[in-house]
Amino acid sequence: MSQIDFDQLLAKLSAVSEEEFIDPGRLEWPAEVDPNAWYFTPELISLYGSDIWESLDDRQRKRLSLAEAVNFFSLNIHGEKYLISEISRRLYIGEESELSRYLLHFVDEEARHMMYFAGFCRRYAEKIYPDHTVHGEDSGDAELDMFLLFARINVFEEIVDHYNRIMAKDERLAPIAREINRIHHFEELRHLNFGRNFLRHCLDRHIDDWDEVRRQELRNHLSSYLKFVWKQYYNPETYQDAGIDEAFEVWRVAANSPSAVQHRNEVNQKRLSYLRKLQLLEAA
Amino acid sequence: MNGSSGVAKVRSCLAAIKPDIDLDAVSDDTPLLKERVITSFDVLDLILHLERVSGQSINRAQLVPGSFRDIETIARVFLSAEVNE
Ligand SMILES: [Fe+2]
Ligand SMILES: [Fe+2]
Repeated sequence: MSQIDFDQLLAKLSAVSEEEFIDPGRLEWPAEVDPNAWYFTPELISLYGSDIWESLDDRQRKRLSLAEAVNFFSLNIHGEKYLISEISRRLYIGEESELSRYLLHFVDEEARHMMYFAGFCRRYAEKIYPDHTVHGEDSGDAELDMFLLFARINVFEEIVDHYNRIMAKDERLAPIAREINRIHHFEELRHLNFGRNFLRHCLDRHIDDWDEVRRQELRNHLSSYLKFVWKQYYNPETYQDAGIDEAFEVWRVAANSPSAVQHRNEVNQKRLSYLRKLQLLEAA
Repeated sequence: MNGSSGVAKVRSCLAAIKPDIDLDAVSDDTPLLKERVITSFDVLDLILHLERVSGQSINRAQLVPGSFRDIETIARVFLSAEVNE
């Protein structure tokens, strides 16, 4: 992708961001949790299909769906908080004003996403699950670090969007849960579009100087990051808040249940084909 | 509770999150991240195990790469409250 084509894409994305502003202040929040409603698509709940899941009755499953929504929104908040700070410090430092113009929209949109995710968590659970991420140190190569940042963001957003897309259409969900997933999906489509094109653009620019050793390092880094992203979807505190006994023991085995492994494989297969095509992830 | 049992607890947490590593080959001051015994992406599991053995929530301010430098440091940063028990 040439610089001219990339700049044109950035200008177009900025224009759409300017036109289609979503105001989180317009959301209508029910006063209370509805114990009879789903807040997370049951088939996407981290324990779905496991022995524990089979042992829960309908009311317990719905209680777990609320805790899973809070976990999902919390992990989004922490991911967004990190990317806002990392992107912000890279704004307006070079010649690439079209890039900075778009990235400022990116940051602005992520800040608004945090408002509704936090709005949900604080209203209905009075908590945001803590962030357990330890961020590695930069390599010192500014272009490489920026590339890795956006590659990680892309992995993170592809998985999140899989969930958003399904929950936005799931009529079993409480309207507020559906709506949050719908508006997030709507704006994230641009971030995903940007991310894929940014990565391709960088790889084209570095076709000669990023050798096979470097490319293997990128693949290792992103493949480990992908595993890390998935770990955040299994949280012992979530199970505890849903009233499940022996939450820590449940957590220890949750990610290894056959249905959980199959679920992650399917999502990876579906959502990460572009990154595999760029040879940024190990083959599925 | 003394320092050496803190170290033993950290070792049991590491064994739980990374069953494939040979912990006998890792000494208490081996730089874990630098030597790639663990990566920053493994830390999430490690924290949850440490919270479990210490019975305390971890303070967000402790979550910097330096806190995970080696087994001794992890024991001191995350399990030292137990030393005073
Ligand atoms: Fe977002
Ligand atoms: Fe985003």
